[in-house]
Amino acid sequence: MNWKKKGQVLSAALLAVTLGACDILTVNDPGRYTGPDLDNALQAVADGVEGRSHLYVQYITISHALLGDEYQHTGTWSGYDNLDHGSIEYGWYGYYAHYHTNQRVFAEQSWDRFERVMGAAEAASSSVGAQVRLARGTHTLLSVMANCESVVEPAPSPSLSDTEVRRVAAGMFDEAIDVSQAAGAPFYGNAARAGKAIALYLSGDYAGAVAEATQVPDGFTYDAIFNQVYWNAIVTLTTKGNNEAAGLMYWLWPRIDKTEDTHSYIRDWATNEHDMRMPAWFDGEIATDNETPHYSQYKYNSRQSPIPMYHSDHMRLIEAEAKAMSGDFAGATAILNNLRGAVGLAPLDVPTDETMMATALLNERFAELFMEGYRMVDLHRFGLVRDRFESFNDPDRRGVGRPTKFSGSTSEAQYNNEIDQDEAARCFPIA
Amino acid sequence: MSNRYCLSGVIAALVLALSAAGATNLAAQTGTVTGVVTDATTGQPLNDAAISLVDTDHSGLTNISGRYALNNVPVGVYTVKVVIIGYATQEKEVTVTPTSTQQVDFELDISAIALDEIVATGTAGEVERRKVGVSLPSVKVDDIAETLPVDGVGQVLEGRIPGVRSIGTNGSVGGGRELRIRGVDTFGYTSVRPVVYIDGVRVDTNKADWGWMAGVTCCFFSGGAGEDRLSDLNPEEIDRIEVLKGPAAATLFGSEAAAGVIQIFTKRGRSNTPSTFTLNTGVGMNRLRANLPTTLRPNFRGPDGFVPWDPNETLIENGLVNNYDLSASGGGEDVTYFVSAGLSYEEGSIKPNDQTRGNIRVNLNWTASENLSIGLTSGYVRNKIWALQTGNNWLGIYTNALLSNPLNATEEEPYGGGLDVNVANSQAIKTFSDADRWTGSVKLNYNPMPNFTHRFTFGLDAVNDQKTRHLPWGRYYTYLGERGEKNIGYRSARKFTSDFLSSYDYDNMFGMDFLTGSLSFGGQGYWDVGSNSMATGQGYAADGVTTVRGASETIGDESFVEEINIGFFLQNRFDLTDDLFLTAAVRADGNSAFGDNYGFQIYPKADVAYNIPQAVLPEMVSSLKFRAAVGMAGKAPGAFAKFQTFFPITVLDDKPGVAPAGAGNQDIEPENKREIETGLDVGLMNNKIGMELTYYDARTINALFYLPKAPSTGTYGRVENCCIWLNRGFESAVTASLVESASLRWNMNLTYEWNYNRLHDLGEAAIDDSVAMYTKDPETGFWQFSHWRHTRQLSGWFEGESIGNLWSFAHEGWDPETRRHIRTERPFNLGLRFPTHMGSVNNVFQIMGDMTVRFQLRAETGADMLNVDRGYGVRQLAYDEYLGALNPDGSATPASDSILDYHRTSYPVDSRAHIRLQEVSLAYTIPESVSGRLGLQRTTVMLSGYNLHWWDDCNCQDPNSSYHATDFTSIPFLSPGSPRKVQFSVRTRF
Repeated sequence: MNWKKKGQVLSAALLAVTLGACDILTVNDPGRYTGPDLDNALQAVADGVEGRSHLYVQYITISHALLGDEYQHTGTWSGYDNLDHGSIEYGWYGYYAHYHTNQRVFAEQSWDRFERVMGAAEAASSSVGAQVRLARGTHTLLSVMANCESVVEPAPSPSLSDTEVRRVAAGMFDEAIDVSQAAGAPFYGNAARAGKAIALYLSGDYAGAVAEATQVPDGFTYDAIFNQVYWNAIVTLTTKGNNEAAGLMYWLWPRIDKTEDTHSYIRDWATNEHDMRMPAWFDGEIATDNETPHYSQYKYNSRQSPIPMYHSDHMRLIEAEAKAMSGDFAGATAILNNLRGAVGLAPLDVPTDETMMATALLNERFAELFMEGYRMVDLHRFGLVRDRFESFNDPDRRGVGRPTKFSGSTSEAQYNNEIDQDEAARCFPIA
Repeated sequence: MSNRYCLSGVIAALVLALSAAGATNLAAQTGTVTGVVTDATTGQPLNDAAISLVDTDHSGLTNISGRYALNNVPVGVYTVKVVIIGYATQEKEVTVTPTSTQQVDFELDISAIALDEIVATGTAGEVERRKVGVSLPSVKVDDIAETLPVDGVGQVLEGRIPGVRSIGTNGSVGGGRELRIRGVDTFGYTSVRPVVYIDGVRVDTNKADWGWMAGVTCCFFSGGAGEDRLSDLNPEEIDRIEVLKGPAAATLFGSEAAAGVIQIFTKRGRSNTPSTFTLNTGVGMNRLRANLPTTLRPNFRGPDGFVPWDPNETLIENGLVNNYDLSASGGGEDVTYFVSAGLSYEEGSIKPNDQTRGNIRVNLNWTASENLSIGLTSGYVRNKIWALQTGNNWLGIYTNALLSNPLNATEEEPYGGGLDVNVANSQAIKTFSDADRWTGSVKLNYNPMPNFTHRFTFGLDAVNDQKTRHLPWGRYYTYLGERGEKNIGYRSARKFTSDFLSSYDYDNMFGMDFLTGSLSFGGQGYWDVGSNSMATGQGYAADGVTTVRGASETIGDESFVEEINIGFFLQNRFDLTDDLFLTAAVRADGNSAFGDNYGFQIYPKADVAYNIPQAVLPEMVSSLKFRAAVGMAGKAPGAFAKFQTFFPITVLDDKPGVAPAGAGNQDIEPENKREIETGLDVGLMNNKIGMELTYYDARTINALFYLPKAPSTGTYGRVENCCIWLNRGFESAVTASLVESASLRWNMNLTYEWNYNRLHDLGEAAIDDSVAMYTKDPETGFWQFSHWRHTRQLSGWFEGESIGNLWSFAHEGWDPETRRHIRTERPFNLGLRFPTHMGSVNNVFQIMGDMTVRFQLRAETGADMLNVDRGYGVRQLAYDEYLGALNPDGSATPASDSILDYHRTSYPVDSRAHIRLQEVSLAYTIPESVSGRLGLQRTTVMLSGYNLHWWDDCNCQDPNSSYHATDFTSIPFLSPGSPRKVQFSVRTRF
């Protein structure tokens, strides 16, 4: 055989061996984990599930503040403009609901992974188990924080009202409490109790709410945590020195001092003192719409500023409201004054009628839960949306017909056969 | 074994096989055939005419003097054939005797049709156009450059080939252009940009701005209009460009060719030709058209009495354009060469923005023996761009200058308050792209027999693009404040190509006349690897430090993709008669992105070409070719779309976490497009008029679509194959030699195309739904609800709609009580984003042989735009439309309130229809009696204009403007259109 022939045979053999010895069409994605990878990363799974439950809290807060009376649109985005003016339809901002619905499933799948890898008993007494059980309840609660309906089972499954979903969430928080206790993880247990208290409170179950709230110790707080990658959008989108797409609504402006060098505080509704629970900043700057003075919230002032999700002061407010609802105005006022005293504000007099009591509660909740996403919830809960906005006598912000909550997730409705496709048959509360 | 080693093994095997295929150089008695090719009318020499001895491997090209030489021709009788675009082919007999030199000269007549032209793209091997059943347009770049300065590949393709849309959409130097072929017929999960090859090597064509990683403050590196990697290419290196428009033509390119293929061929040296140097140099300027809607600003005053600046006067400047290119080409008996070096510098009209590009190319060909030749190509480019901050971009210079309210203007903020960032601060941002790129190939031609040829091509396109952006400390930027920021990004793209092709020409096989034709088979392998990495630093203590490390917060990010494709094909062309040709082929592709449950994809094709015998044609019809083809090509899914994965995320207090990523789909298939193409190539009046008419009807089947799922299932959806798009169109090109005399020659080329697409079938997951239909009152301009159109819907897409539909709310009326506009209750289809009718007129006048005047007009209609730019400008109290209605003191009037309310209610829709004076040039070739005294050969001086003017009704700066780095046509939002360019150039040879 001459060299040419040998070469041809050799090359053919090399080609055959090369092609046969490997799967030439195999590639790997080094930027993603596979399912089996996660069996060795249970803490990262738990942290991922919990961390994801913190996201979108900031967007719920912004959108609810725009729909409510905390924020007005001061930027260039027509979506914010429409929210501010209450001109929204079915499907707007439904992604808050579908995000939390979706992420709740990952929490459940992660729990299944823990049981498979660790065993059921160990999972039920593990810290990572407590994290994902808490996140599951949080996602369920948040799925109806700004929306009027959601689902709690995988499609096909029926849509439940916000009240029904909160009750389901309360049950989920119970499971989280159990796991936290078994794991010796009181931090998650307290958060779960606070979550349960809020779920029951927003469903009108004051007794149940107070039973949980009183077990949350003073000083406790569970915050939505942001980091170098996931930012607090309240800061980046609506705060001085950033985008300034929204600013504090004009009825608050007279209560905010102009200051050039540093931030100030919104003045107290009752005493006109600076209320340190509501940092704000106005330096005369025009916002990005080129015409509106930008009054900025300043409670959150860095991209990593945490947003309180569950905290003891909120629990005290729940206790105060429960007392007020039972006619114990003095007891309610005492709790409110404790909270006021903690920030150096003068105490309130005990209200003499229900209206004054409701006013005190609403204003104290506004201050205590400033930019935490509850103001529109309160206006909706107390049935005040129409009157509140009509009182502005603002043709751009009419109270009549203003939505008080967002509708449910449109994508859930469209691809879940158990949900009525007729939007009119579903919820979209209007004042 | 990793893929790297696998591919290395394959390459090693093929190289070894080639080495083993050493050939014997047979000695023989030979002679030389030489001559001159000239224009029959003017007597001018014709450059680059292809000379060949029929049925042999002997071939060559004429030089600038029209001379050619074919050496070592064995003694015998031959037919010498000369082919050149624009002229009728001629053949002459010659008898070669030992050691003799035979002179064979040609005088060629103009011909508007070129059926004898050899094409290399889309076929297995080179073949005459008359034998091909598809439209295969080509552009001879070298010829155009003789009388018109050519700035880039994009400009060459602009308005010259019907069906090919190559337009400038961005006014920044180095910014992206829009490039697509035959419209759009995909949901957007695959690119509509055709794949591009340079000398057989698949190359990177990215133009997306990739900088939104690692926590950058805003808006990618420069707002979304990234650097177009096609702008790396120096047109002075390009010989010609061939275009495969659709699957019927591009079947053999398989799984990436559904959107068409563009083949770029760089220049080669000519054998037995002394060195010829070509020097090309030019100087000129860019200047944006001053039609920004801000001319009324100086009529107002800021709070301190400051007179606001009008960006037309202060932002638009002249941008210097300067280029030098020097090349040398020639060759000896066995080796030819083309060597070139180019340096160009171009400033944008809005500053800071410039591009400095240096190119070096070496192309070598070595005829190692009678049956083995080796070609090497090597092109290197360094392309440095100071990018313009533009587009939908809080940091944009143009953005903040345009969206300023003049009533807020002060000395510190002379344009007005600005959207948020002072224009001076925008201009202080330093945004650089610094790209190195090497594209090279080795091509081996082994022809053991004249009718049995083998070609091996191995190539690599390697792009390294480093980008930096620095937002200086102490200046205010949205989202960042005054803390300062530095971003560094590194993008690496590697595309490896290996290609093997064998062709066997057979004639009267088994003694049967009809068994004549060509059998081809081969295979290709592509390995694409890409990675991006970025680092960001934010928060500096003071000015002076600009490193990422110097910042108080730092963050990094990276991404990676890899895709491997292997394909094999078999093709046979049956030469049924001398006039009738039938080609059938099949290709099989395996791709790493296909689902594991899917396997190989088969792409079939067939085409027929019938050249009507001249004897049966009417006298005025000189030639007539019918062609028809059917074929299929595909687009691979996303590189990792088949995997179910979880992505790493930073959660809580900077802890590592995971979250669900892709749901994965192991059944995923390529998005395939079937196309039927029919057409005519007609030559009239002795081929003085040529027409190409083509109709195509394509169906995108198995379209890749993100199929949503109920969120409660744990996924939002996944990419699946689901739907069918229809895409139809008509293309025509008429080339005519209208005047032909020694003193005046007038050639005209007209192109026209029509394109239409429709979403035909949304698959099983679609649900019954209705679309609101509105009609516009021609008197009031308000829209009124008309009726419901019942159809099916999937995730916001409706059957029967076009992919380019503009969905938006509009104005239904005016409420005199509230003095507010009423918005329609629902969004509806307000128009079409993509043009439906496009055309161009290209005229070339040659006067007295020395003077050439050429101009191109381009027009398009049928497209509308959601004029977000206009709406934003009014809403920001910044544009003339609003300012013109204010009182002289700047206070509002009922009219200004109404205008403001109109634009706050909904964005306007305006037409993109326009006519554009795209190119004008005046070229004068200095008589050789003059240039010769300086030792120069053909020398031409040129004065040219590009994009000089356009006529539109768009209420915008430029109806072709598009802010985002996409070939899908985006809105003209805060992005300057292409600038006008005027250039003076000199091109000479010596």
